[in-house]
Amino acid sequence: MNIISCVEAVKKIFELLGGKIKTSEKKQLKKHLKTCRECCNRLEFEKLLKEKLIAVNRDKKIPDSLEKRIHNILRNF
Amino acid sequence: MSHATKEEFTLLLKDVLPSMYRVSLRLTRDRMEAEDLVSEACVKAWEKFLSLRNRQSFKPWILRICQNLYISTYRKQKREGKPIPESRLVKKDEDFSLFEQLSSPLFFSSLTPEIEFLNTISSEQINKALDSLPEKYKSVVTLCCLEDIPYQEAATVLNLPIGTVRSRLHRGKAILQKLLWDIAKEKGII
Repeated sequence: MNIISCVEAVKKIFELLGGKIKTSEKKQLKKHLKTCRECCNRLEFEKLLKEKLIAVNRDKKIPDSLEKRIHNILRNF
Repeated sequence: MSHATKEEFTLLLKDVLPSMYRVSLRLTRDRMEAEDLVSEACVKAWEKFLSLRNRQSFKPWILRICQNLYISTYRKQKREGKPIPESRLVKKDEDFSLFEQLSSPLFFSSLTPEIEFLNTISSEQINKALDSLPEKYKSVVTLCCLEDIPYQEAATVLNLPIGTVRSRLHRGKAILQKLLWDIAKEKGII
C-alpha cells in the first residue's frame, strides 16, 4: 500500500467527512494517521467543526405558523 | 390524484420539511420569505409529483424546486448583512485553513487552541459568517456541510456537475473559516 503525504491525507479527510471515500483510500488514510499526530488533530478539528455547523443549523426549528400553513395546503390538495 | 398518492406525498414531505425550511431560511435570510418559499415549493411539488418516478430521490427533487423558485422569485439584494462581494475575496482566502492558523507555532494561546476556538465561537457568530458567504458558495456549504447531503444529491439540487460542487465546497469552506477567523479576531476571541 502506498504511503501518502500530509497534503493527500488532508484531502482524504475531507472525502471521509463528506461520506465519499473508497475503502482503499480509507486504509491509506488510516495508515497515515497511525504515524502522524498533526493529521489526527486535523481530522479531530474538521469533525468538530462539521458537528458544530450541523448543530447551529439544526437549532432552526419549523415555526408553528409554517406547520399550520402546510397543513392547510395539504388539506386543500 | 388518489388518496394514496396524497398520503405518500404527505409522508415524504413530513420527512424533508425541516431541511426545506432551514435551506430556505439560509437562502432568504428572512423568516417570512422562507415560509412563503417553502409553501410555494410544496404546491409546485404536488403539481409535479406524478412526474417523479424515483420516490427515493424526493428530497433532492423538492430541494431543487425550492432552489429554482428562490432564484426565479426571491433572490434580491438585502440592505443589511449582504454577502461579501466576490471581488473582495483574495486567492489566499480560498485556501484558508483555521486549523493551520490555530495550530501554528506562532499561536501560543493554549495546548489545544483549535478545539478551544470551536468551543468559544458562538452560534450567532457562525450564523453571521454563513450569511456573509457569497451565494454560490453558500448554497453548496448549506447543502453539504449544514444539511450533510451527499455531493451527488447536492449536484442534483443545484444542477451542477459534481466536480463543481466539490471545488465550490472546498473554496466555500475555506472562505467560511477565514470569515470565522476575522469575526473571532474582531471580537477578541483570538
